[in-house]
Amino acid sequence: MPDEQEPQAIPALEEQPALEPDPAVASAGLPDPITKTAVLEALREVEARLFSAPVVAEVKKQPLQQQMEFAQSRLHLTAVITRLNASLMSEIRQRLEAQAPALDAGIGGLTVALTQLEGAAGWAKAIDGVIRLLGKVVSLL
Amino acid sequence: MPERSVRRNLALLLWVVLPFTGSVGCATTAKVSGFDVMAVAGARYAQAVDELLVTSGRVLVDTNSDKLLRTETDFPGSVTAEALAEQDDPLRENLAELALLRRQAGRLSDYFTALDALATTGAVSSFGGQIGAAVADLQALSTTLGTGQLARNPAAAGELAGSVGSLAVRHVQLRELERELEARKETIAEVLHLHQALFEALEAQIAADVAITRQQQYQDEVVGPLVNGAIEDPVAWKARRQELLAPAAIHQQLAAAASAAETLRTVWARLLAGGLTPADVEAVVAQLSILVDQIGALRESPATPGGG
Repeated sequence: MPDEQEPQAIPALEEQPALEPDPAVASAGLPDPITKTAVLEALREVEARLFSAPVVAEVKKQPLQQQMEFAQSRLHLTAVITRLNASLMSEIRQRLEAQAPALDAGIGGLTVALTQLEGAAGWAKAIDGVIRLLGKVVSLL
Repeated sequence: MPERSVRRNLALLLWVVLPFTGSVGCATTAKVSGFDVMAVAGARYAQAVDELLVTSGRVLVDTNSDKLLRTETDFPGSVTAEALAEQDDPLRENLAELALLRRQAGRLSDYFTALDALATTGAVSSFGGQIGAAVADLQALSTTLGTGQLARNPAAAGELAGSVGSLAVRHVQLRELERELEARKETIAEVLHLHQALFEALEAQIAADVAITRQQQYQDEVVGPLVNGAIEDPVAWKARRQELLAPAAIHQQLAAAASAAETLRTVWARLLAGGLTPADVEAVVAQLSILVDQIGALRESPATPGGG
């Protein structure tokens, strides 16, 4: 990797002590969302620069050994970003799974309500209520 | 005067029944319609989410492949089997997470489908037809009470019973809907909030990946031929330039999904607060139309946006 890249990349990460929270992720109550989202954003910017045509052209002027190291380091960075992204997905997924029992209970409750409404027991109950209501009306006639 | 009798009975029935049923009639119909709209919108949203998660997985892999290919092109011999394995492992993690997220989206779809089934049940409309069996009981009841009014007009009795029965069933339907939604209001709001966060996070990753892919394509297919005087087909070159400068469909789609999740959450809150308006319904329908249209467009295009 050429010397001019690393000094740019490392301060970019360290110069963010007061990062703005990601409103959507933070308000969803995800664990440690600010650091992970901000680090990902910074790493993606670095990765984009390392894939840019001017940087690649510059690296190609370097000795072969340095070119190989640059290429492998760049791929390693891509893998790190992919892994961090998976970790972020995992946090959101775990939060969703925490809601799963409540959703299942809701599905069950709705199904039971529908069955009762459309089932024989539901009809009998409703008809019984109607007869009682009609009884009140008839008594007024 | 059977007609007068029926009218009189109906007026009395309404006078008696309305205080019992509370929110029946137009208000009930409007609220059930609100649940119906929300249920259909939610189910469509969840299905769109599923398709979007599948597409996102394909784009993540394809853009990673583009990076590998570009690295090998720029620096021949630099990509080893170990380097490939290093990419594959976290990609598998991403795909596994997306698969699990699809399962959660399926659960949300099931919920809204169940909500739709209860909101649109045929029990209300079919009640009038089925009440005929109870007419004999009603006749016996009225005879017992000594009025004979209903016994002299069984058809009217059946009609009245059907009307009241429909109201009663609708009341039960609304009560069950409201009870369930009251119990689940925070869960659904939280799920939709997490979906919004999910799509914003996915959009950030995919936008960055697609930008790298497109940057390379632009360099190879637009800049290179132009500066080297090697454009063989100017019309095709211009079309490709247009395509690569335009926003990527997947990027727009993920943004639309995040926006749809936010709109659904807002509409959900208003529905439960009893403040759902036609404008809310229009908003959610418009958001979903955008999402569905973009999914349709993406389905017909390559997984990697801008890929030729």
